[in-house]
Amino acid sequence: MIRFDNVGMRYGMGEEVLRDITFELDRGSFHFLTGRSGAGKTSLLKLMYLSERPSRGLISMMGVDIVMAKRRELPRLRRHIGVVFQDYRLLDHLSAYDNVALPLRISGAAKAEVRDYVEELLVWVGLKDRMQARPPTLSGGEKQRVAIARAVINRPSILLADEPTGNVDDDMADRLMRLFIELNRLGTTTVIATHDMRLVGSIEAPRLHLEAGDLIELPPGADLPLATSGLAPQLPEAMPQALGYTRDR
Amino acid sequence: MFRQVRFLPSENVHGRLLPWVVAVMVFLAGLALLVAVGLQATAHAWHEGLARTLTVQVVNPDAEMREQETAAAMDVLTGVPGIASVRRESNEEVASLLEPWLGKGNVVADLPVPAVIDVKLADGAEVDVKALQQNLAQAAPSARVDAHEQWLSDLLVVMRIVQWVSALIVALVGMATVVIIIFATRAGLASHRETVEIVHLMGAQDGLIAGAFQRRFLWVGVKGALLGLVALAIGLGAIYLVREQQHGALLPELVPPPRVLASLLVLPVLSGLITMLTARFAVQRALADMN
Ligand SMILES: Nc1ncnc2c1ncn2[C@@H]1O[C@H](COP(=O)(O)OP(=O)(O)OP(=O)(O)O)[C@@H](O)[C@H]1O
Ligand SMILES: [Mg+2]
Repeated sequence: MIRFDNVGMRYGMGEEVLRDITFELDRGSFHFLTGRSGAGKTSLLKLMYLSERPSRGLISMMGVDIVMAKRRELPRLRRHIGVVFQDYRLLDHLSAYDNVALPLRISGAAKAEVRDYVEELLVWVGLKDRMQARPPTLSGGEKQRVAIARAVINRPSILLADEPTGNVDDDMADRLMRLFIELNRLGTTTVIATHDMRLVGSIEAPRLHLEAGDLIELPPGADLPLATSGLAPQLPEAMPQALGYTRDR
Repeated sequence: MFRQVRFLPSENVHGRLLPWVVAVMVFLAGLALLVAVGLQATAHAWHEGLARTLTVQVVNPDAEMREQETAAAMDVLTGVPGIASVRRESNEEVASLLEPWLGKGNVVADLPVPAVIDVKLADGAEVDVKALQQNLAQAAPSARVDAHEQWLSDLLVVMRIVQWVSALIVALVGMATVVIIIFATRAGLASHRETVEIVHLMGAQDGLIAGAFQRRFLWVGVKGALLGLVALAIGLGAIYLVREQQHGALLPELVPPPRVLASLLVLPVLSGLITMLTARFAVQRALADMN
Protein backbone atom coordinates (compact mmCIF):
# COMPACT_ATOMS: atom_id res chain seq x y z
CA MET A 1 0.00 0.00 0.00
CA ILE A 2 2.82 2.34 0.96
CA ARG A 3 6.37 1.62 -0.10
CA PHE A 4 9.44 3.77 0.53
CA ASP A 5 12.75 2.80 -1.02
CA ASN A 6 15.90 4.68 -0.01
CA VAL A 7 14.04 7.92 0.31
CA GLY A 8 15.80 11.12 1.26
CA MET A 9 14.17 14.47 1.77
CA ARG A 10 15.35 18.01 2.31
CA TYR A 11 13.64 21.39 2.50
CA GLY A 12 15.02 23.67 -0.17
CA MET A 13 18.82 23.61 -0.11
CA GLY A 14 18.99 22.53 3.55
CA GLU A 15 20.36 19.33 5.05
CA GLU A 16 18.41 16.11 4.60
CA VAL A 17 15.80 15.82 7.34
CA LEU A 18 15.06 12.22 6.30
CA ARG A 19 17.76 9.79 5.20
CA ASP A 20 17.64 6.38 3.52
CA ILE A 21 14.08 5.67 4.56
CA THR A 22 13.04 2.18 3.45
CA PHE A 23 9.86 0.42 4.60
CA GLU A 24 6.66 -1.12 3.32
CA LEU A 25 3.18 -0.96 4.86
CA ASP A 26 0.61 -3.58 3.85
CA ARG A 27 -2.98 -2.79 3.01
CA GLY A 28 -5.00 -2.57 6.21
CA SER A 29 -1.99 -2.34 8.52
CA PHE A 30 -1.84 -0.08 11.60
CA HIS A 31 1.38 1.68 12.66
CA PHE A 32 2.46 4.28 15.14
CA LEU A 33 5.07 6.75 14.00
CA THR A 34 7.19 7.92 16.92
CA GLY A 35 10.26 10.04 17.45
CA ARG A 36 11.41 13.12 19.27
CA SER A 37 10.28 16.57 18.37
CA GLY A 38 12.08 17.50 15.18
CA ALA A 39 12.90 13.89 14.27
CA GLY A 40 11.01 14.17 11.00
CA LYS A 41 7.58 12.62 11.68
CA THR A 42 5.61 15.39 10.00
CA SER A 43 8.08 15.44 7.10
CA LEU A 44 7.59 11.71 6.53
CA LEU A 45 3.82 12.14 6.58
CA LYS A 46 4.08 15.03 4.09
CA LEU A 47 5.74 12.66 1.66
CA MET A 48 2.92 10.18 2.18
CA TYR A 49 0.12 12.69 1.64
CA LEU A 50 1.85 13.97 -1.49
CA SER A 51 2.51 17.45 -0.24
CA GLU A 52 6.27 17.22 -0.73
CA ARG A 53 8.31 15.23 -3.20
CA PRO A 54 11.37 13.27 -2.05
CA SER A 55 14.78 14.57 -3.04
CA ARG A 56 15.83 11.02 -3.82
CA GLY A 57 14.53 7.45 -3.70
CA LEU A 58 11.27 5.82 -4.70
CA ILE A 59 7.83 6.16 -3.16
CA SER A 60 4.87 4.08 -4.20
CA MET A 61 1.40 4.82 -2.88
CA MET A 62 -1.48 2.45 -3.67
CA GLY A 63 0.69 0.94 -6.38
CA VAL A 64 1.47 4.26 -8.08
CA ASP A 65 5.06 5.43 -8.35
CA ILE A 66 4.53 9.00 -7.22
CA VAL A 67 7.95 10.25 -8.29
CA MET A 68 7.25 9.32 -11.90
CA ALA A 69 3.53 10.02 -11.80
CA LYS A 70 2.13 12.87 -13.84
CA ARG A 71 0.87 15.81 -11.82
CA ARG A 72 -2.70 15.33 -12.95
CA GLU A 73 -2.76 11.74 -11.64
CA LEU A 74 -2.16 12.88 -8.06
CA PRO A 75 -5.58 14.36 -7.13
CA ARG A 76 -7.26 10.98 -7.54
CA LEU A 77 -4.71 9.43 -5.13
CA ARG A 78 -5.13 12.28 -2.65
CA ARG A 79 -8.87 11.72 -2.49
CA HIS A 80 -8.11 8.30 -1.00
CA ILE A 81 -5.84 9.69 1.68
CA GLY A 82 -7.28 11.18 4.86
CA VAL A 83 -5.00 13.50 6.82
CA VAL A 84 -5.21 14.90 10.34
CA PHE A 85 -2.72 17.76 10.31
CA GLN A 86 -0.69 18.50 13.43
CA ASP A 87 -1.96 22.10 13.32
CA TYR A 88 -5.46 21.01 12.15
CA ARG A 89 -5.51 23.33 9.11
CA LEU A 90 -9.23 23.90 9.24
CA LEU A 91 -10.74 26.57 7.00
CA ASP A 92 -11.56 29.39 9.41
CA HIS A 93 -14.31 30.92 7.27
CA LEU A 94 -16.28 27.67 7.06
CA SER A 95 -18.38 26.16 9.84
CA ALA A 96 -17.31 22.92 11.52
CA TYR A 97 -20.00 21.25 9.44
CA ASP A 98 -18.74 22.64 6.13
CA ASN A 99 -15.15 21.81 7.03
CA VAL A 100 -16.05 18.17 7.56
CA ALA A 101 -18.24 18.14 4.44
CA LEU A 102 -15.47 19.49 2.21
CA PRO A 103 -13.79 16.17 1.24
CA LEU A 104 -17.17 14.67 0.40
CA ARG A 105 -18.10 17.65 -1.75
CA ILE A 106 -14.77 17.56 -3.56
CA SER A 107 -15.39 13.89 -4.34
CA GLY A 108 -18.84 14.82 -5.66
CA ALA A 109 -20.99 13.15 -2.99
CA ALA A 110 -24.76 13.67 -3.13
CA LYS A 111 -26.27 16.35 -0.88
CA ALA A 112 -28.28 13.94 1.26
CA GLU A 113 -25.26 11.73 1.72
CA VAL A 114 -23.19 14.70 2.86
CA ARG A 115 -25.81 15.79 5.40
CA ASP A 116 -26.31 12.35 6.94
CA TYR A 117 -22.66 11.39 7.22
CA VAL A 118 -21.37 14.74 8.44
CA GLU A 119 -23.99 15.13 11.13
CA GLU A 120 -23.57 11.60 12.36
CA LEU A 121 -19.82 11.88 12.60
CA LEU A 122 -19.86 15.26 14.33
CA VAL A 123 -22.33 13.89 16.88
CA TRP A 124 -20.05 10.92 17.43
CA VAL A 125 -17.02 13.08 18.23
CA GLY A 126 -19.14 15.11 20.67
CA LEU A 127 -19.68 18.25 18.58
CA LYS A 128 -23.45 18.02 18.21
CA ASP A 129 -23.92 21.57 19.51
CA ARG A 130 -20.93 23.12 17.71
CA MET A 131 -21.69 22.11 14.14
CA GLN A 132 -22.30 25.66 12.92
CA ALA A 133 -19.41 27.16 14.90
CA ARG A 134 -16.38 28.48 13.03
CA PRO A 135 -12.97 27.10 13.97
CA PRO A 136 -11.69 30.32 15.61
CA THR A 137 -14.45 29.98 18.20
CA LEU A 138 -13.61 26.34 18.97
CA SER A 139 -11.29 25.09 21.71
CA GLY A 140 -8.08 23.29 20.72
CA GLY A 141 -9.60 19.89 21.45
CA GLU A 142 -12.77 20.73 19.53
CA LYS A 143 -10.74 21.81 16.51
CA GLN A 144 -8.80 18.58 16.72
CA ARG A 145 -12.01 16.56 16.64
CA VAL A 146 -13.29 18.51 13.62
CA ALA A 147 -9.96 17.81 11.90
CA ILE A 148 -10.29 14.10 12.67
CA ALA A 149 -13.87 13.98 11.45
CA ARG A 150 -12.77 15.68 8.22
CA ALA A 151 -9.97 13.14 7.73
CA VAL A 152 -12.18 10.06 8.11
CA ILE A 153 -15.44 11.27 6.51
CA ASN A 154 -14.45 9.94 3.08
CA ARG A 155 -13.57 6.46 4.41
CA PRO A 156 -10.03 6.85 3.07
CA SER A 157 -7.85 3.94 1.97
CA ILE A 158 -5.00 5.51 3.92
CA LEU A 159 -5.33 7.53 7.12
CA LEU A 160 -2.39 9.66 8.23
CA ALA A 161 -2.81 11.37 11.61
CA ASP A 162 -0.19 13.73 13.00
CA GLU A 163 -0.47 13.93 16.79
CA PRO A 164 -4.26 13.53 16.61
CA THR A 165 -4.89 13.36 20.36
CA GLY A 166 -2.47 16.00 21.60
CA ASN A 167 -5.19 18.37 22.75
CA VAL A 168 -7.88 16.14 24.26
CA ASP A 169 -8.18 14.40 27.63
CA ASP A 170 -7.47 10.68 27.99
CA ASP A 171 -11.11 9.62 27.70
CA MET A 172 -11.62 11.53 24.46
CA ALA A 173 -8.23 10.29 23.20
CA ASP A 174 -9.36 6.69 23.78
CA ARG A 175 -12.66 7.37 22.05
CA LEU A 176 -10.89 8.84 19.01
CA MET A 177 -8.48 5.90 18.94
CA ARG A 178 -11.49 3.58 18.80
CA LEU A 179 -12.62 5.49 15.71
CA PHE A 180 -9.23 4.95 14.05
CA ILE A 181 -9.21 1.29 14.99
CA GLU A 182 -12.70 0.78 13.60
CA LEU A 183 -11.72 2.48 10.35
CA ASN A 184 -8.60 0.29 10.24
CA ARG A 185 -10.73 -2.82 10.81
CA LEU A 186 -12.77 -1.77 7.75
CA GLY A 187 -9.55 -1.84 5.71
CA THR A 188 -7.93 1.58 6.04
CA THR A 189 -4.15 1.55 6.20
CA THR A 190 -3.38 3.71 9.23
CA VAL A 191 -0.32 5.63 10.42
CA ILE A 192 -0.52 7.67 13.63
CA ALA A 193 2.34 9.95 14.56
CA THR A 194 2.58 10.70 18.26
CA HIS A 195 4.89 11.16 21.20
CA ASP A 196 2.17 10.10 23.59
CA MET A 197 3.63 6.87 25.05
CA ARG A 198 0.42 6.14 26.94
CA LEU A 199 -1.37 6.02 23.61
CA VAL A 200 1.32 3.85 22.03
CA GLY A 201 1.11 1.47 24.98
CA SER A 202 -2.67 1.23 24.78
CA ILE A 203 -2.69 -0.73 21.52
CA GLU A 204 -0.65 -3.63 20.25
CA ALA A 205 0.73 -2.12 17.06
CA PRO A 206 4.10 -2.03 15.32
CA ARG A 207 6.04 1.24 15.34
CA LEU A 208 8.00 3.23 12.84
CA HIS A 209 10.48 5.14 14.93
CA LEU A 210 12.42 8.13 13.63
CA GLU A 211 15.69 9.01 15.23
CA ALA A 212 16.99 12.29 13.82
CA GLY A 213 16.02 11.43 10.26
CA ASP A 214 16.78 7.68 10.35
CA LEU A 215 13.99 5.10 10.48
CA ILE A 216 13.85 2.10 12.81
CA GLU A 217 11.03 -0.46 12.56
CA LEU A 218 9.90 -1.91 15.89
CA PRO A 219 7.50 -4.82 16.54
CA PRO A 220 4.50 -4.31 18.86
CA GLY A 221 5.43 -3.62 22.47
CA ALA A 222 9.16 -3.39 21.80
CA ASP A 223 11.31 -0.75 23.49
CA LEU A 224 13.97 1.19 21.69
CA PRO A 225 17.38 -0.46 21.56
CA LEU A 226 19.64 1.26 24.10
CA ALA A 227 22.14 2.22 21.44
CA THR A 228 19.71 4.59 19.80
CA SER A 229 17.76 5.80 22.79
CA GLY A 230 20.86 7.60 24.03
CA LEU A 231 20.95 9.94 21.06
CA ALA A 232 19.16 12.75 22.85
CA PRO A 233 20.43 16.13 21.73
CA GLN A 234 22.62 17.88 24.28
CA LEU A 235 20.47 20.53 25.92
CA PRO A 236 21.82 23.05 28.45
CA GLU A 237 21.12 22.24 32.13
CA ALA A 238 21.17 25.76 33.54
CA MET A 239 17.96 27.82 33.47
CA PRO A 240 17.90 30.44 30.72
CA GLN A 241 19.39 33.76 31.77
CA ALA A 242 16.47 35.45 30.07
CA LEU A 243 14.17 34.42 32.93
CA GLY A 244 16.12 36.68 35.27
CA TYR A 245 16.31 39.52 32.82
CA THR A 246 14.71 42.68 34.16
CA ARG A 247 14.52 46.16 32.83
CA ASP A 248 12.71 49.30 33.86
CA ARG A 249 9.44 49.47 31.98
CA MET B 1 -16.93 20.67 -16.64
CA PHE B 2 -15.90 20.48 -13.01
CA ARG B 3 -18.05 20.23 -9.90
CA GLN B 4 -18.74 23.45 -8.09
CA VAL B 5 -17.57 23.44 -4.50
CA ARG B 6 -17.88 26.58 -2.42
CA PHE B 7 -14.73 26.87 -0.37
CA LEU B 8 -13.55 30.48 -0.78
CA PRO B 9 -14.44 33.07 1.85
CA SER B 10 -16.72 35.88 0.79
CA GLU B 11 -15.19 38.93 -0.83
CA ASN B 12 -12.86 41.25 1.09
CA VAL B 13 -12.47 44.98 0.52
CA HIS B 14 -10.11 44.60 -2.45
CA GLY B 15 -12.57 42.26 -4.07
CA ARG B 16 -15.44 44.67 -3.62
CA LEU B 17 -13.47 47.50 -5.22
CA LEU B 18 -12.55 45.49 -8.27
CA PRO B 19 -15.87 45.84 -10.15
CA TRP B 20 -15.47 49.62 -9.93
CA VAL B 21 -12.07 49.42 -11.56
CA VAL B 22 -13.59 47.32 -14.32
CA ALA B 23 -16.42 49.85 -14.56
CA VAL B 24 -13.96 52.67 -15.28
CA MET B 25 -12.27 50.52 -17.92
CA VAL B 26 -15.55 49.69 -19.61
CA PHE B 27 -16.62 53.34 -19.48
CA LEU B 28 -13.44 54.36 -21.33
CA ALA B 29 -13.68 51.52 -23.79
CA GLY B 30 -17.34 52.31 -24.43
CA LEU B 31 -16.60 55.97 -25.10
CA ALA B 32 -13.76 55.12 -27.47
CA LEU B 33 -15.96 52.56 -29.18
CA LEU B 34 -18.76 55.08 -29.66
CA VAL B 35 -16.37 57.59 -31.19
CA ALA B 36 -14.94 54.97 -33.54
CA VAL B 37 -18.33 53.64 -34.61
CA GLY B 38 -19.86 57.10 -34.89
CA LEU B 39 -17.04 58.35 -37.10
CA GLN B 40 -17.28 55.23 -39.22
CA ALA B 41 -20.92 56.00 -39.98
CA THR B 42 -20.24 59.70 -40.67
CA ALA B 43 -17.25 59.00 -42.88
CA HIS B 44 -19.24 56.45 -44.80
CA ALA B 45 -22.12 58.86 -45.38
CA TRP B 46 -19.82 61.62 -46.56
CA HIS B 47 -17.92 59.35 -48.81
CA GLU B 48 -21.10 58.03 -50.38
CA GLY B 49 -22.68 61.47 -50.72
CA LEU B 50 -19.84 63.74 -51.73
CA ALA B 51 -17.56 61.45 -53.64
CA ARG B 52 -20.39 60.77 -56.05
CA THR B 53 -20.64 64.39 -57.17
CA LEU B 54 -18.53 67.01 -58.91
CA THR B 55 -19.16 70.70 -59.36
CA VAL B 56 -18.05 72.60 -62.45
CA GLN B 57 -18.00 76.39 -62.36
CA VAL B 58 -17.75 78.54 -65.44
CA VAL B 59 -16.34 81.88 -64.36
CA ASN B 60 -16.02 83.94 -67.53
CA PRO B 61 -17.05 87.52 -66.52
CA ASP B 62 -18.68 88.17 -69.85
CA ALA B 63 -22.26 86.97 -69.61
CA GLU B 64 -22.60 85.91 -73.25
CA MET B 65 -19.29 84.08 -73.35
CA ARG B 66 -20.21 82.45 -70.07
CA GLU B 67 -23.44 81.09 -71.51
CA GLN B 68 -21.59 79.73 -74.56
CA GLU B 69 -18.88 78.10 -72.46
CA THR B 70 -21.45 76.63 -70.14
CA ALA B 71 -23.37 75.03 -72.96
CA ALA B 72 -20.12 73.64 -74.43
CA ALA B 73 -19.03 72.33 -71.04
CA MET B 74 -22.39 70.59 -70.55
CA ASP B 75 -21.93 68.91 -73.93
CA VAL B 76 -18.47 67.68 -73.04
CA LEU B 77 -19.56 66.45 -69.61
CA THR B 78 -22.54 64.57 -70.98
CA GLY B 79 -20.22 62.62 -73.26
CA VAL B 80 -17.82 61.48 -70.53
CA PRO B 81 -18.28 57.82 -69.55
CA GLY B 82 -19.06 57.35 -65.84
CA ILE B 83 -21.08 60.52 -65.52
CA ALA B 84 -24.67 59.73 -64.73
CA SER B 85 -26.28 63.15 -64.92
CA VAL B 86 -25.41 66.77 -65.61
CA ARG B 87 -27.57 69.64 -64.37
CA ARG B 88 -27.09 73.36 -64.52
CA GLU B 89 -28.13 75.18 -61.42
CA SER B 90 -30.55 77.98 -62.21
CA ASN B 91 -29.47 81.57 -61.61
CA GLU B 92 -31.94 81.74 -58.72
CA GLU B 93 -30.29 78.76 -57.03
CA VAL B 94 -26.87 80.33 -57.39
CA ALA B 95 -28.19 83.61 -56.15
CA SER B 96 -29.63 81.94 -53.07
CA LEU B 97 -26.18 80.46 -52.40
CA LEU B 98 -24.73 83.95 -52.42
CA GLU B 99 -27.49 85.67 -50.51
CA PRO B 100 -26.01 85.13 -47.07
CA TRP B 101 -23.01 87.22 -48.17
CA LEU B 102 -24.45 89.72 -50.56
CA GLY B 103 -27.97 90.17 -49.31
CA LYS B 104 -31.26 89.77 -51.14
CA GLY B 105 -31.54 91.76 -54.35
CA ASN B 106 -30.50 91.81 -57.99
CA VAL B 107 -27.44 89.80 -57.33
CA VAL B 108 -27.40 88.00 -60.64
CA ALA B 109 -28.11 90.99 -62.77
CA ASP B 110 -25.45 93.21 -61.18
CA LEU B 111 -22.61 90.75 -60.66
CA PRO B 112 -20.78 88.35 -62.94
CA VAL B 113 -21.93 85.28 -60.98
CA PRO B 114 -20.37 82.04 -62.23
CA ALA B 115 -22.54 79.36 -63.78
CA VAL B 116 -22.66 76.21 -61.64
CA ILE B 117 -23.06 72.71 -63.09
CA ASP B 118 -23.82 69.78 -60.77
CA VAL B 119 -22.40 66.51 -62.01
CA LYS B 120 -23.45 63.15 -60.55
CA LEU B 121 -21.22 60.13 -61.13
CA ALA B 122 -22.56 56.68 -61.90
CA ASP B 123 -22.30 54.16 -59.04
CA GLY B 124 -18.82 52.74 -58.80
CA ALA B 125 -17.46 54.90 -61.61
CA GLU B 126 -14.08 56.59 -61.27
CA VAL B 127 -13.54 59.84 -63.13
CA ASP B 128 -10.09 61.22 -63.76
CA VAL B 129 -10.47 64.82 -62.67
CA LYS B 130 -7.26 66.03 -64.32
CA ALA B 131 -8.21 64.55 -67.70
CA LEU B 132 -11.67 66.03 -67.34
CA GLN B 133 -10.19 69.46 -66.63
CA GLN B 134 -8.06 69.23 -69.78
CA ASN B 135 -11.03 68.12 -71.87
CA LEU B 136 -13.06 71.04 -70.63
CA ALA B 137 -10.23 73.53 -71.15
CA GLN B 138 -10.66 73.39 -74.94
CA ALA B 139 -14.44 73.79 -74.99
CA ALA B 140 -14.73 76.15 -72.02
CA PRO B 141 -11.44 77.79 -71.02
CA SER B 142 -12.88 79.35 -67.87
CA ALA B 143 -14.41 76.11 -66.52
CA ARG B 144 -13.12 74.91 -63.14
CA VAL B 145 -13.69 71.42 -61.80
CA ASP B 146 -14.23 71.16 -58.08
CA ALA B 147 -14.02 67.50 -57.06
CA HIS B 148 -14.58 67.99 -53.31
CA GLU B 149 -11.76 65.55 -53.31
CA GLN B 150 -8.97 67.29 -51.57
CA TRP B 151 -10.67 68.51 -48.45
CA LEU B 152 -12.79 65.40 -48.27
CA SER B 153 -9.81 63.10 -48.33
CA ASP B 154 -8.00 65.29 -45.81
CA LEU B 155 -10.99 65.03 -43.51
CA LEU B 156 -11.27 61.31 -44.07
CA VAL B 157 -7.62 60.89 -43.10
CA VAL B 158 -8.22 62.78 -39.88
CA MET B 159 -11.24 60.63 -39.18
CA ARG B 160 -9.32 57.44 -39.87
CA ILE B 161 -6.62 58.57 -37.45
CA VAL B 162 -9.17 59.31 -34.74
CA GLN B 163 -10.69 55.91 -35.39
CA TRP B 164 -7.38 54.16 -35.09
CA VAL B 165 -6.64 56.00 -31.88
CA SER B 166 -10.04 54.95 -30.54
CA ALA B 167 -9.38 51.35 -31.46
CA LEU B 168 -5.98 51.62 -29.82
CA ILE B 169 -7.61 52.95 -26.65
CA VAL B 170 -10.03 50.02 -26.63
CA ALA B 171 -7.12 47.59 -27.06
CA LEU B 172 -5.04 49.29 -24.34
CA VAL B 173 -7.98 49.35 -21.95
CA GLY B 174 -8.47 45.65 -22.65
CA MET B 175 -4.83 44.91 -21.92
CA ALA B 176 -4.85 47.03 -18.77
CA THR B 177 -7.90 45.09 -17.62
CA VAL B 178 -6.11 41.80 -18.21
CA VAL B 179 -3.12 42.98 -16.19
CA ILE B 180 -5.31 44.25 -13.35
CA ILE B 181 -7.19 40.97 -13.24
CA ILE B 182 -3.96 38.99 -13.23
CA PHE B 183 -2.76 40.99 -10.23
CA ALA B 184 -6.12 40.68 -8.51
CA THR B 185 -6.20 36.94 -9.06
CA ARG B 186 -2.66 36.58 -7.76
CA ALA B 187 -3.54 38.67 -4.71
CA GLY B 188 -6.65 36.57 -4.19
CA LEU B 189 -4.62 33.39 -4.47
CA ALA B 190 -2.04 34.71 -2.04
CA SER B 191 -4.58 35.71 0.57
CA HIS B 192 -6.40 32.39 0.20
CA ARG B 193 -3.19 30.41 -0.15
CA GLU B 194 -3.83 28.21 2.89
CA THR B 195 -7.38 27.47 1.77
CA VAL B 196 -6.27 26.63 -1.74
CA GLU B 197 -3.49 24.39 -0.46
CA ILE B 198 -5.78 22.44 1.84
CA VAL B 199 -8.37 21.93 -0.86
CA HIS B 200 -5.54 20.89 -3.18
CA LEU B 201 -4.28 18.36 -0.61
CA MET B 202 -7.80 16.95 -0.30
CA GLY B 203 -7.55 15.98 -3.94
CA ALA B 204 -9.37 18.81 -5.70
CA GLN B 205 -8.31 19.05 -9.34
CA ASP B 206 -6.84 22.31 -10.61
CA GLY B 207 -10.00 22.81 -12.64
CA LEU B 208 -12.20 22.74 -9.56
CA ILE B 209 -10.03 25.28 -7.74
CA ALA B 210 -9.70 27.49 -10.82
CA GLY B 211 -13.46 27.21 -11.26
CA ALA B 212 -14.12 28.84 -7.92
CA PHE B 213 -11.96 31.84 -8.83
CA GLN B 214 -13.26 31.87 -12.38
CA ARG B 215 -16.90 32.19 -11.30
CA ARG B 216 -16.00 34.96 -8.93
CA PHE B 217 -14.13 36.93 -11.57
CA LEU B 218 -16.77 36.36 -14.22
CA TRP B 219 -19.16 38.13 -11.90
CA VAL B 220 -16.63 40.90 -11.26
CA GLY B 221 -16.30 41.44 -15.02
CA VAL B 222 -20.02 41.47 -15.77
CA LYS B 223 -20.96 43.59 -12.78
CA GLY B 224 -18.16 46.07 -13.48
CA ALA B 225 -19.15 46.34 -17.13
CA LEU B 226 -22.80 46.99 -16.28
CA LEU B 227 -21.75 49.71 -13.85
CA GLY B 228 -19.56 51.22 -16.57
CA LEU B 229 -22.42 51.17 -19.08
CA VAL B 230 -24.73 52.88 -16.61
CA ALA B 231 -22.11 55.62 -16.17
CA LEU B 232 -21.80 55.89 -19.95
CA ALA B 233 -25.56 56.17 -20.33
CA ILE B 234 -25.66 58.96 -17.76
CA GLY B 235 -22.83 60.75 -19.56
CA LEU B 236 -24.53 60.45 -22.97
CA GLY B 237 -27.83 61.57 -21.48
CA ALA B 238 -26.16 64.70 -20.12
CA ILE B 239 -24.55 65.49 -23.48
CA TYR B 240 -27.89 64.96 -25.18
CA LEU B 241 -29.65 67.39 -22.86
CA VAL B 242 -26.99 70.07 -23.28
CA ARG B 243 -27.18 69.64 -27.07
CA GLU B 244 -30.92 70.12 -27.02
CA GLN B 245 -30.47 73.42 -25.20
CA GLN B 246 -27.79 74.62 -27.60
CA HIS B 247 -29.87 73.43 -30.56
CA GLY B 248 -27.04 71.13 -31.54
CA ALA B 249 -24.65 73.90 -32.42
CA LEU B 250 -21.33 72.90 -30.87
CA LEU B 251 -21.39 69.39 -29.48
CA PRO B 252 -20.93 66.63 -31.99
CA GLU B 253 -23.49 63.93 -32.57
CA LEU B 254 -22.24 61.60 -29.83
CA VAL B 255 -25.57 60.03 -29.04
CA PRO B 256 -25.54 57.12 -31.45
CA PRO B 257 -28.39 55.33 -33.17
CA PRO B 258 -29.99 52.40 -31.28
CA ARG B 259 -28.17 49.85 -33.42
CA VAL B 260 -24.81 51.20 -32.21
CA LEU B 261 -26.06 51.47 -28.63
CA ALA B 262 -27.08 47.82 -28.76
CA SER B 263 -23.58 46.91 -29.90
CA LEU B 264 -22.31 48.29 -26.58
CA LEU B 265 -23.90 45.27 -24.95
CA VAL B 266 -20.97 43.19 -26.17
CA LEU B 267 -18.90 44.99 -23.53
CA PRO B 268 -20.26 43.10 -20.48
CA VAL B 269 -19.86 39.81 -22.34
CA LEU B 270 -16.34 40.73 -23.42
CA SER B 271 -15.43 42.03 -19.99
CA GLY B 272 -16.77 38.91 -18.28
CA LEU B 273 -14.88 36.67 -20.68
CA ILE B 274 -11.65 38.61 -20.17
CA THR B 275 -11.84 38.56 -16.37
CA MET B 276 -12.93 34.94 -16.25
CA LEU B 277 -10.34 33.52 -18.62
CA THR B 278 -7.58 35.65 -17.12
CA ALA B 279 -8.41 34.41 -13.63
CA ARG B 280 -8.51 30.82 -14.83
CA PHE B 281 -5.16 31.16 -16.54
CA ALA B 282 -3.53 32.88 -13.54
CA VAL B 283 -4.82 30.29 -11.06
CA GLN B 284 -3.71 27.38 -13.16
CA ARG B 285 -0.26 28.89 -13.54
CA ALA B 286 -0.01 29.32 -9.77
CA LEU B 287 -1.29 25.82 -9.02
CA ALA B 288 1.25 24.29 -11.34
CA ASP B 289 3.86 25.30 -8.76
CA MET B 290 2.18 23.12 -6.14
CA ASN B 291 3.15 19.48 -6.11
N1 LIG C 1 9.06 23.86 6.00
C1 LIG C 1 10.26 23.58 6.52
N2 LIG C 1 11.36 24.18 6.05
C2 LIG C 1 12.57 23.92 6.54
N3 LIG C 1 12.80 23.03 7.51
C3 LIG C 1 11.74 22.37 8.03
C4 LIG C 1 10.43 22.61 7.57
N4 LIG C 1 9.58 21.83 8.26
C5 LIG C 1 10.34 21.13 9.11
N5 LIG C 1 11.64 21.43 9.01
C6 LIG C 1 12.74 20.86 9.74
O1 LIG C 1 12.75 19.46 9.48
C7 LIG C 1 13.04 18.73 10.65
C8 LIG C 1 11.94 17.72 10.91
O2 LIG C 1 10.75 18.43 11.17
P1 LIG C 1 9.37 17.69 11.38
O3 LIG C 1 8.31 18.73 11.42
O4 LIG C 1 9.24 16.62 10.37
O5 LIG C 1 9.55 17.06 12.83
P2 LIG C 1 8.50 16.30 13.74
O6 LIG C 1 9.07 14.98 14.02
O7 LIG C 1 7.17 16.33 13.13
O8 LIG C 1 8.52 17.20 15.05
P3 LIG C 1 7.30 17.46 16.11
O9 LIG C 1 7.14 16.25 16.91
O10 LIG C 1 7.81 18.62 16.91
O11 LIG C 1 6.10 17.81 15.31
C9 LIG C 1 13.19 19.75 11.77
O12 LIG C 1 14.57 19.95 11.98
C10 LIG C 1 12.55 21.00 11.23
O13 LIG C 1 13.22 22.13 11.72
MG1 LIG D 1 5.41 17.24 13.56
